[in-house]
Amino acid sequence: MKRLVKYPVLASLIGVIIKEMKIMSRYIGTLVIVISLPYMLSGFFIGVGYTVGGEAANRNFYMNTGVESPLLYLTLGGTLMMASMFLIENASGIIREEQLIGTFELHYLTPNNTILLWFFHAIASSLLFLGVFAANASLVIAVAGSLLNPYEWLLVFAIVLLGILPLAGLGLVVAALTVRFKEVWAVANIVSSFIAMLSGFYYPLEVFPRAVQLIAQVVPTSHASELLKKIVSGMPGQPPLAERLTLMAALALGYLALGKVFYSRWEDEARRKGELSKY
Amino acid sequence: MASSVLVENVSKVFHTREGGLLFRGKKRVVEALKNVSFEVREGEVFGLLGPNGAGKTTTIKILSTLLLPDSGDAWVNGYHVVKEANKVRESIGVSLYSDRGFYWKLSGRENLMYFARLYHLERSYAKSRIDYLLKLLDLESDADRLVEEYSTGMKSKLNIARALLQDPPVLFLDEPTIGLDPTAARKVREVIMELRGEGKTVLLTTHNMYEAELLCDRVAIISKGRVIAIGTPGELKSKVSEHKVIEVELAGFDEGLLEMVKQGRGVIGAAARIRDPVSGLAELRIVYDGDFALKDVLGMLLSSRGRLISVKSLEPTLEDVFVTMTGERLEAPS
Ligand SMILES: Nc1ncnc2c1ncn2[C@@H]1O[C@H](COP(=O)(O)OP(=O)(O)OP(=O)(O)O)[C@@H](O)[C@H]1O
Ligand SMILES: [Mg+2]
Repeated sequence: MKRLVKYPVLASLIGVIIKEMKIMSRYIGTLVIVISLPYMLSGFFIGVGYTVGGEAANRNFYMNTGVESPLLYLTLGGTLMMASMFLIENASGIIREEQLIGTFELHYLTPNNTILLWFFHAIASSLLFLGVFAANASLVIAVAGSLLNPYEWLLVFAIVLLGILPLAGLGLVVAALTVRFKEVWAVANIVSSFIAMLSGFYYPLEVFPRAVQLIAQVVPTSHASELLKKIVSGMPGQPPLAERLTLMAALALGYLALGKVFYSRWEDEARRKGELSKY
Repeated sequence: MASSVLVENVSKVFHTREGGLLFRGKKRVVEALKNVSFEVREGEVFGLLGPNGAGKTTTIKILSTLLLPDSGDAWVNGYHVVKEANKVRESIGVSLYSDRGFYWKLSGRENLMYFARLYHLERSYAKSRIDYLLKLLDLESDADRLVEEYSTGMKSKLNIARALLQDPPVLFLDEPTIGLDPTAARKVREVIMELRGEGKTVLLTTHNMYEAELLCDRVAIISKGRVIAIGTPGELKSKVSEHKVIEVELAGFDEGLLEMVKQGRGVIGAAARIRDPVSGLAELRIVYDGDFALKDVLGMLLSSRGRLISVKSLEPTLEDVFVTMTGERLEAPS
């Protein structure tokens, strides 16, 4: 009988995706929060908006964002925000979590590149969020009375992936710097809040001073959220797409490389100091 | 016979600090392994026998590439553990804990399937291998329950099943029977003997001398990071077989008494295990030569402040090798 698969990396990827999907499906509460939180936040912000802007709220919103439906804008932004926070926290938290249950160092016994394995975990979460995003987007688009064609959907998925996957690199940096102190989640929360602030999930980045806008240029989710809102709301005057996507791909490579550098350094040290097994 | 595991002068020191990030305590240096050398021959069951903190797990981790040695060399299946770590990983199956190392929300079978994929096993082979292992370890009927419902014994056995997934020639089992009831422990021992029958090499650790005697072709006794004796259980016991052994139960024990006993005429070694610190209830194990020694020792015990409860005369065991060489007992109080 044949023993080993032909494409080992693929086997590992499938293994990780199946494991993560099964576990997520058994923690159903988390899924419910992930799907519903963006709506709750949209309602919250729309309420605040009306309280502050009164009758003029909708008009002001359109003038500032170019989007007619606040629900659409805020829900898409919110979904993307959930995805980005989840990814950063998951990519760093997973290491802590697996250390706690004792599965972490077992991965080091298998013939795999461990950084790749943690990245596969990020891919698994991203796939989940693609689904959540598609569901939420379809709903708000339908409410707004329009539809996306297959090409646009493909584009939307590519943009979501390019926006959130690089954050796994950031998660690995956080993990590498903080796993020793066992409080990964604290730093991960701070980092993901900053990313959220600089991404313009709920507001256009033009509300910030020029310097902040410049910094936001290197945050992949800022591009993702801008592009997505424009495509989904069918706004005219789209930003030059090819250029943006290239920039995002470059950012993605940069973030992941950064993650690899930091994590590899931690790993080497951990092997010497016996940190792999601590919990 | 070829050697499956070869360890040459391996040392490992841990530098740690007490306390946390904010209130950093004083530095602590733990010499976990000091110039450890031993060889495990192909097809042999080899035991590392030693008390808590002796360095058994550290040795296993270095051999399984999870920890880098500070100095020295080691080879597994002919591959160097630092320079050819990937080759080593392909050659070994490792069980590190008795009841950790699983995803609680996956079933036993799903846990195994995940690791089978990470070992790149072909799907149908993985399935039949997992079926076989679940059967081997008496886990068939619980295979599809979530691991969160498993008892310690079931988790232990599942751990061993996972170690066997890729059908490796060399197995490292860290305390494979710790925390198991006699039935489960017997099952695990049976499996180890079966593996030996298949020609696998097994390196296991234990602080249970009966287990070492029962299972191991050869044993290395390890104390405070040093290998202090290596040999077959018979060879090791022959070091003490000329001597006599008593075990004394005593209330109101103190260290001074032990020191006095150790200095006694004809006493080869003595060690105590405190059973109850409050009442000072302790078990003294005394290895000695000659009847005069027994008379002296009993005299000391009777005239001490302690209260003598019982005295048993015993056949020398592996533990007495440990007692005479280290002045300590092997097993922690149970
Ligand atoms: N990661 C680590 N950091 C600091 N010290 C460590 C680390 N791992 C082990 N040690 C220390 O090294 C020594 C040997 O530990 P080890 O776990 O190898 O003992 P052991 O023989 O397996 O004991 P036990 O029977 O209790 O499992 C101990 O003093 C332990 O505190
Ligand atoms: Mg141990």
